[in-house]
Amino acid sequence: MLACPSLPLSLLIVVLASLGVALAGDPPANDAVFIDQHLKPFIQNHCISCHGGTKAKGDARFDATLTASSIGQQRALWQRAYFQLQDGTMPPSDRPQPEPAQRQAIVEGLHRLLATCGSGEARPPGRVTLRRLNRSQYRNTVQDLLRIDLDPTGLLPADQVGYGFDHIGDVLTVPPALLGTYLSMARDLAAAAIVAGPDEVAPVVARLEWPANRHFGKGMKRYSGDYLSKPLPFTCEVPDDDEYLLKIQLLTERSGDKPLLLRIDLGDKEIARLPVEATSFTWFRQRIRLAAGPNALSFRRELAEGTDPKTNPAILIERVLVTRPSAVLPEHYPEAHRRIMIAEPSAKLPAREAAKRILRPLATRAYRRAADDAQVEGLLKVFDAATTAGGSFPIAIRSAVMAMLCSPRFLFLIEQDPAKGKPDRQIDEPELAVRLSYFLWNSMPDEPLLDLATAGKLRAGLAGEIARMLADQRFVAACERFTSQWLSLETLESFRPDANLPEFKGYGELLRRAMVREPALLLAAILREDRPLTELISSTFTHVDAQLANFYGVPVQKLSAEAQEQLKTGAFVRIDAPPNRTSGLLSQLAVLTATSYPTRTSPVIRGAWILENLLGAPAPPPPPNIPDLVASTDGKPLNLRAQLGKHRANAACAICHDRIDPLGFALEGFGPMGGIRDKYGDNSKIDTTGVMPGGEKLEGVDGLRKFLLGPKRDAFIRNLARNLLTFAIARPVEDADACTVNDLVAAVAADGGKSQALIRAIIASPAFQRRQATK
Amino acid sequence: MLIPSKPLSRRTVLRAAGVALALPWLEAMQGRGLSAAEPAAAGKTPPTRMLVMYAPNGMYMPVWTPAAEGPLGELPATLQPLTPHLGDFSVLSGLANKAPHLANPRGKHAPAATSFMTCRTPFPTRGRDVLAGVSFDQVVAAKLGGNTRLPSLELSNETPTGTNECDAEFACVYTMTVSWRSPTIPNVPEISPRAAFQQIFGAEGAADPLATAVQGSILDLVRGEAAALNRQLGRPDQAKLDEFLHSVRETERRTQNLPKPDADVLARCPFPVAPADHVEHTKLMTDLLVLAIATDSTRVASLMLGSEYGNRSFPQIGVNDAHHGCSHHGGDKGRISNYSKINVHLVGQLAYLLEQLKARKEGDRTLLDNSVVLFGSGIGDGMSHDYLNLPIVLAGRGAGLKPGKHIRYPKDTPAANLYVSLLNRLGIEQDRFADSTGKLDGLAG
Repeated sequence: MLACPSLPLSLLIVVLASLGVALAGDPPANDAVFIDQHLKPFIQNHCISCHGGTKAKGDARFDATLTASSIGQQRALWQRAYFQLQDGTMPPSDRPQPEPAQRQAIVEGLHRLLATCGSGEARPPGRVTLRRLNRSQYRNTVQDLLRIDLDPTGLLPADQVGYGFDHIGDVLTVPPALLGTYLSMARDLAAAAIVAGPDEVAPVVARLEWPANRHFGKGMKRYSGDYLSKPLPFTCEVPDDDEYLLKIQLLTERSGDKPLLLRIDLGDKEIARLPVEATSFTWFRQRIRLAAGPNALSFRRELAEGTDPKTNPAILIERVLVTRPSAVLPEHYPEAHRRIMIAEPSAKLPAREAAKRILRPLATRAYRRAADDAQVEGLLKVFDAATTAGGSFPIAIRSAVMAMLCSPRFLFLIEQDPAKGKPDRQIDEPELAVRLSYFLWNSMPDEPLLDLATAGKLRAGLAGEIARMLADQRFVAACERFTSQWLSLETLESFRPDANLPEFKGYGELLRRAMVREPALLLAAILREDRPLTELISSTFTHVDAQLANFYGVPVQKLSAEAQEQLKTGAFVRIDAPPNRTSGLLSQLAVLTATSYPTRTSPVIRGAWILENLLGAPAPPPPPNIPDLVASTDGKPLNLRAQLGKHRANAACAICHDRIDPLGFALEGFGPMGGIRDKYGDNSKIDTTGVMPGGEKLEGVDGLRKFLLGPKRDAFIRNLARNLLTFAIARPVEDADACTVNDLVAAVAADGGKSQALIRAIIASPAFQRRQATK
Repeated sequence: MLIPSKPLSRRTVLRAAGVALALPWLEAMQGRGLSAAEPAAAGKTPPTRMLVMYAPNGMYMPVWTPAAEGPLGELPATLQPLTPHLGDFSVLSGLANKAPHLANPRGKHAPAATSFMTCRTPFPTRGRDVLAGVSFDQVVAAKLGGNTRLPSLELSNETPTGTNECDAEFACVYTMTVSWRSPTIPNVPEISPRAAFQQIFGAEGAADPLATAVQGSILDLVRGEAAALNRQLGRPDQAKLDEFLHSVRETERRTQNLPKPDADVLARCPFPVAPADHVEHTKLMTDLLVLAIATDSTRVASLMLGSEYGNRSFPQIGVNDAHHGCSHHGGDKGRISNYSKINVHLVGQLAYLLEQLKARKEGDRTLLDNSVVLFGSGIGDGMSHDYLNLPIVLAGRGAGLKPGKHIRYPKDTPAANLYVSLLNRLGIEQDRFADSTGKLDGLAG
């Protein structure tokens, strides 16, 4: 640049000044010189005619009056201007262009202006709107709270997505049916966690079951052989003479308004007629005395008097378990039950007192801060209601746990507003613990974290807690929530590729799940090992399960014996990246598939995806009535590159496609599901070259990676920081947060680009530590 | 005040009200199960219902619009699936939804869905402060839905996916919601068949006396906790808590007088998720829609056959091309063919709905005779996002409709005119709705 002979003297001074200034610490006087003498005339000459006054194309409007502070207030606008000047998108190619050196000087000056935020510049904490647990948070939270492996969330409505994520308080709605769903899930969860009595956990001594494949097929029609109009025999062998409990799981057809009866015989003696009516598989029970040795049981259907025999309703027995309640031992109770039921009513301990001992610590964990007397008393009222209605002690505790799971203190992440008149407040330690755990775990604080916060020692021990949380398995799951949303991989859930195309061979739910896990494992490894963030697009390792190993053609037999074993169990193992897969996310299956059509690759989607998801500089939506791609010329079909070339010849299209297409074509060496190729289906050769508006030549994924890590490195880090901040604080990151984002980028740079600096800087930021008052 | 001083007595009142409101019609329905076909008790008039089926991404109009006005005869290609129902529906041409689109230079799919029944411009936001208008079905629900367990029921067959923006600067909720309870509260549709089933028939195992007593005390606790919290929270947070309290009240209302579950449909509702095949999913949601109105659980319901801007492919009917992609056909024959095939398929879902409604007798009429069924899209030809000629079918004989013809309305007739006309026919005195300029002729004669 300095060697450029045509460089005007004044610009040379500015460039030198800006270089010198960067060393000297940004004296504001030079900003004023840059703005008045260079930026203002540049804007006047090159921008105002389209982006000034009432005409403001692309929602970008510049004022003629410019000061450092007016630029500071419109950082998002200037950030866009900076990117577009830098990559040559603006001014449009059909307009007069600035000299390259002039462009460069403006770009560098703007970069310096935008990259620095004075310590006095605002970093408003913002205000997180009261947010309910979203679907994944609810699932993780109940599983961690109750320690059960049950996912009841299928009935929850889909979460609303805004600002790229599905946990933003402003965006999540509470549909009218939601509490009903919470109640029904709470009922299932409490029943799974708390055992009502020994009958429920009695060991099974004999069973009658159908082969598992009997489940397949549509609805009940497959069971039509099992009307039980003839007896179903079952010879069960038991060890001792004792009272046993039969558990019978069945489904019935309707028998009109008359009950349907299940008759149970032992030998030739009828033992019971159970009224059964179950529209879905339901358990029925019968106590029965059996003698040691084989017992000849049989089941058959009886119709109640007055039932029209022509309706011939079926009873479909799924399984019969013979259990022995007298043989129950403590270890037959599930872990959840043992952890919750820490007190039992006795002669010395009244039931209500025992309930209190159980409910207070559980409520403290469920509400994520010490439960007070009024809250515990509220739960005890539910306990009382259940007891009065005839419920046993465990049933009454179940009811109180249900209530706990439906309380807004459980369902919402609650934070106190600042006191009246105060602009903001530092959130207290239990609130901080909640923010931390939903950021790094997407779940509730565990006991050590909550204890630390309750004791007021969390801020002092923050570094240690962060390290502990990163090492925890829950961190990987949180990473997957983040990468799936940041990279728009959730679109894959509804992606139905053309199954006839060889490129999509093997695509299905299992492969989809494996492929979206790969980027999450990469991010988790980079963060845990404090590797540079840029490894997200340049890592030389990746993680595969057996399916991905197969797809990537990994020589599995060359892996360690341990790794081979792990692959067999369905686990992921870390491997050296296969050839042509050393560009991190850019060469991973999930990204390449999510950016394709169901029938072919789309350089346009891929290019636009890179701009939006990796660089945070989305191309504006196409103008209305865009001319479509021309598929042929003079009767000769054109390939996609030629079609897009024609498209770019139109200046209106070129503004965006000049930026989009080269990025996308660089990835054409990957098929629509990420397979490596050098020819299209019609045998024509694939061309992965392209030139960006700024003149950078791209070729293949290697060229793209170099471009992203070179001129676009800062944009990549900034966009990642912005997305991770949004994920962390669950509110939109807006113009006012520009300095906060700058601080994050600066913190990463100060630590040599290493990744944990970003986590630490987010957690230390006012946006994370403080809460602003309502406007 | 949200919190009654004596919650228990309030619930008692509600329960009593529930019994009092158990309409004779509902009793009759419950008493004989769902499949029997007895004549209605003498002198009882079945209620009028209103159903909406929304088709995303417009229609290829050259093969949608019947050639001639007047009585329907040979149907154009897209409408072919409706041939068995020739006398049961009308095609309304020329209706426009101009105002919302004119105000938006960009993003046509979000306004297409949200404005379809609101006729209002959605406020451009990526999520915060969504704003549209009350949709026409909700005005109907306020009148017809007062006595039913569900004021209205909204269903869809497409799970939202977490993309950054769904259409230009518009939040995803705009593309997946046609029903708006208030200008700021979208009735986000239910997507899981199992969850929809629970809305209609209640949760299993919730009915025994212990469970009922416990549920009552839980709702008391929930209200109490919400009241205690409400005092500590700032205004925007209180608004969220109000939504939650609305849900508490709805839960009380919805557990009254549950109809008998339908085992056949339940057996098809997979737990926990929707069928992977979206065509099967659609059929199931249509069945649930019909059950909901047949049991009089609600009288106003809508089903979206996909989200606007939706890009699913339809391998089930041999279309591997993506829906939104091929709606921008650019005159390409292959894409037009795929677009039209998808449209025929979507109209086929209407045909299936009409068939189901006709199969259910209410007295000497069918359920279809007692219903107003609106089918349409918020744009015409997807290529240009045309909002001046919407594809609209109006079926059923509810509210005195006389179907069976093709009516062409003058250029620029607002779709809102249709809504005012229907509101009036449903007994709601209202001269205007959104940008309406009058009423439509020809619907009832």
